[in-house]
Amino acid sequence: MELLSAITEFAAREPKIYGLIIGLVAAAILASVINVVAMLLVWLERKVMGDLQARYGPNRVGGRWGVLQLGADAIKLFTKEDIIPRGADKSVYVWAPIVAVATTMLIAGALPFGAVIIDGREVPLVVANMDISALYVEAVLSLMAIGAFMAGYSSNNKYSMLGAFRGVARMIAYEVPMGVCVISVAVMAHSLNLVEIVNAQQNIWFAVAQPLGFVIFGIALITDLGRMPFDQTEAEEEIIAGYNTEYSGIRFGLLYFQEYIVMLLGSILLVLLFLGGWKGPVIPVISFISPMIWFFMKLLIVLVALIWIRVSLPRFRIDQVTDLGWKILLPLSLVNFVWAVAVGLYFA
Amino acid sequence: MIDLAQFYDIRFLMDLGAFSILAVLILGFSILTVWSSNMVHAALYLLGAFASVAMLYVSLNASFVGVVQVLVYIGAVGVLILFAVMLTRRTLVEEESHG
Repeated sequence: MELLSAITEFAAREPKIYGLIIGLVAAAILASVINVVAMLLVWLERKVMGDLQARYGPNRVGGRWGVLQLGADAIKLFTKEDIIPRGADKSVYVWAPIVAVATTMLIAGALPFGAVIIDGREVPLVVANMDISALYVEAVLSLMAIGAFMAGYSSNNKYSMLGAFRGVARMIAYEVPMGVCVISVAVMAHSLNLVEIVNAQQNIWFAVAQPLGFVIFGIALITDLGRMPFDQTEAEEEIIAGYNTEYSGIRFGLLYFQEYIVMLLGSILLVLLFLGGWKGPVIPVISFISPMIWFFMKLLIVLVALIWIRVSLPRFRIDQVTDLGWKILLPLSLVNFVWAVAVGLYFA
Repeated sequence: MIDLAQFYDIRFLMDLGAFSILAVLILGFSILTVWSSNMVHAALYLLGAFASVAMLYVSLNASFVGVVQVLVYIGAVGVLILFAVMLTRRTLVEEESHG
């Protein structure tokens, strides 16, 4: 208790230094938690994919469920030879995986990871509770193409280059409808703060209030994550593995892992913007973590749905993808924006 | 005249440190952009300069301008420059850089 009061006093006296220390500690905790959860996500994907394809999936390392399979994979990737191809643009080649992971981790700082109830008050678990966190996340999401571009350009390989091309073209096409959907949500919630957006969904989820926006945002999100119906950047049958064709060892591991971190963070964004975040009926006995339970249940459903979509749908051609983005999703997202403004004004 | 008591205040030093690091980053990236003979490297350095400017805005408590800087300059202008540079022929770039 004495320690707590000393900390509070220090916080009041030196808010800047206190903020810096808290921010660094929270960022360190966040980075490690996200990495562990993303590792579990790789395992979940392989397991669910196995179930959906009527096979076992990983079942040897770490008991019957193969939980430690990813640990074994990580050790394997760490010990593999790190090959830099001849003719590669070496500095860009080395920096690309680092840039890819760093830009992805930037998103995590602004996302609330659920909430806990302390003294009957909801306390959201977020590192940086900014007024403009939705806009920030949207801005940082558009940086992800840069890491992929650097990887594709520097590999000195035609397939990698094509993958990078496709990635940038797709990113430009889908960033616009996605941004319009985020703005529609912000208009309805009267705020760009993700915590406020969740609080605005106390009575009705935005997935119900603007179903069109939910569908468009979902499609644009799958595209941004580069997952199955839209994974033209690494379409195995066409361009080997796209921008990470030449990568090996731990650099490949980073690029591969980055996709799962993005998948986790993107699903969290979808839950926060459209599925009511941590809102749900209070569970009696364990009421203080009931928001967390709702949040993670919704998150798990979204993640399994993403894996399900990946397993069941065939891949589009690249021209179909850009057509869908510019000719269908963009006009529809504008319709949704008008709808959001009209409904928002009516109920304001 | 710098007040010494103020100069040794840790808050002032933190602000000064943040500004100095960002100033060095912005200047360094800008100079590298101009001096780099490889067009793609120049474009990437330019993105670095944009990102540093965004951080400078955030450190000046103008976080909205910082986010818009990321959204417009890195997300749109920077990626457009990268796209345009990718469409240039690589051999041409190399000839020019050596000639």
